[in-house]
Amino acid sequence: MSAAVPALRARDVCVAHGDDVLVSPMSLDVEAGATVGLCGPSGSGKSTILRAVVGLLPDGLRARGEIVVLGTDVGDPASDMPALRARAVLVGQVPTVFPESILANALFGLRHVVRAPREQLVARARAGLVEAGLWEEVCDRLDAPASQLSIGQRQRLCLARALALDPDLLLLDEPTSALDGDSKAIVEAAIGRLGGRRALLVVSHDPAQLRRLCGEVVSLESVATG
Amino acid sequence: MLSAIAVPVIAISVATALESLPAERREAASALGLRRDQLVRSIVLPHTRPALATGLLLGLARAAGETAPLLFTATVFAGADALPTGIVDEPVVALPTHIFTLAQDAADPAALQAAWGSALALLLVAALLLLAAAPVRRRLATRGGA
Repeated sequence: MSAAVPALRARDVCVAHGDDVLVSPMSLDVEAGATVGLCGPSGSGKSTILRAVVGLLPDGLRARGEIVVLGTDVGDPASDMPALRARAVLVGQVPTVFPESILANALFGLRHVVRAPREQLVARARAGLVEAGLWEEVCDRLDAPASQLSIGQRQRLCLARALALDPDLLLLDEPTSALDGDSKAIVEAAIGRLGGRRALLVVSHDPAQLRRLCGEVVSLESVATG
Repeated sequence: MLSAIAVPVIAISVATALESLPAERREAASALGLRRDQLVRSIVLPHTRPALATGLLLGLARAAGETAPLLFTATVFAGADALPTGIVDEPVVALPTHIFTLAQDAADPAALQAAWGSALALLLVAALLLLAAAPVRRRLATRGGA
């Protein structure tokens, strides 16, 4: 990705259900390699904004305004959204693992998106697990069902399978909301190590956490203009 | 004709499985860049396969016992012989209508005995299909993790 192209540019973006505006107009920029936090109270629309960025709004909701991700206009019906989602990966709030092995989960996005020999895909999946800080804990049981992992490990597995795609932009939705103290610290440390290597947009209701993780924190209320 | 009887059983079974597919799983796959066809192959089909197999077995068992539709469409009124001469165009005799035909000759002890034997065979086929449905579903669900 060219350094001149911002990872995300959102201008006067709002989300509406019919005529009802659910998320007030907001603007936001995430430069390549930057880590930006988006905070706001529950129900303010943080998660909805992330979904709008990758075109995964629930049925009935529509985003208005301009959203350009990695140079692709999300509002343009001609845009190849699946290809864009493989470069701008959303990691959801609920750590959802697929009913397969740990390795199959780490490979899940790769084997659908990247055409390469399996050995290369496995190497990338391993790199994702290492980057997410999970490799040491699962390297001897990669064929075990992912459902056996703890919630914190599942969260890092979701992060690993996203990282395996080597995305230019990573969108993290409340990455530690389901975790206890120790798991939270481990996931935070993993996210902290990602900074600078790719653009990150982290959503959280916890401003202190965002200040720890992000170079810039944007409050949803402060960017709302109406 | 029998498909009209079996398909609702299969459809209800699959529809129930589709409704139980967690939305988060679909969303997680979409967020990784999967296209719609990949989503169906990797998420939807593995999740619904046990229900599809169960529905097929139950639908087959349900259809196997049908007599009246076959009388009018495929056997008696279509001029079926006792044994078919081909596998494509020839009318065929189904077990239920075979039993019906034999029962009409109830005065003949041999025909009656054959009717009882055929009824037992039909019962065993239906019981086998019904009994197989649950284990097949469990096995496929375990393999798919659904």
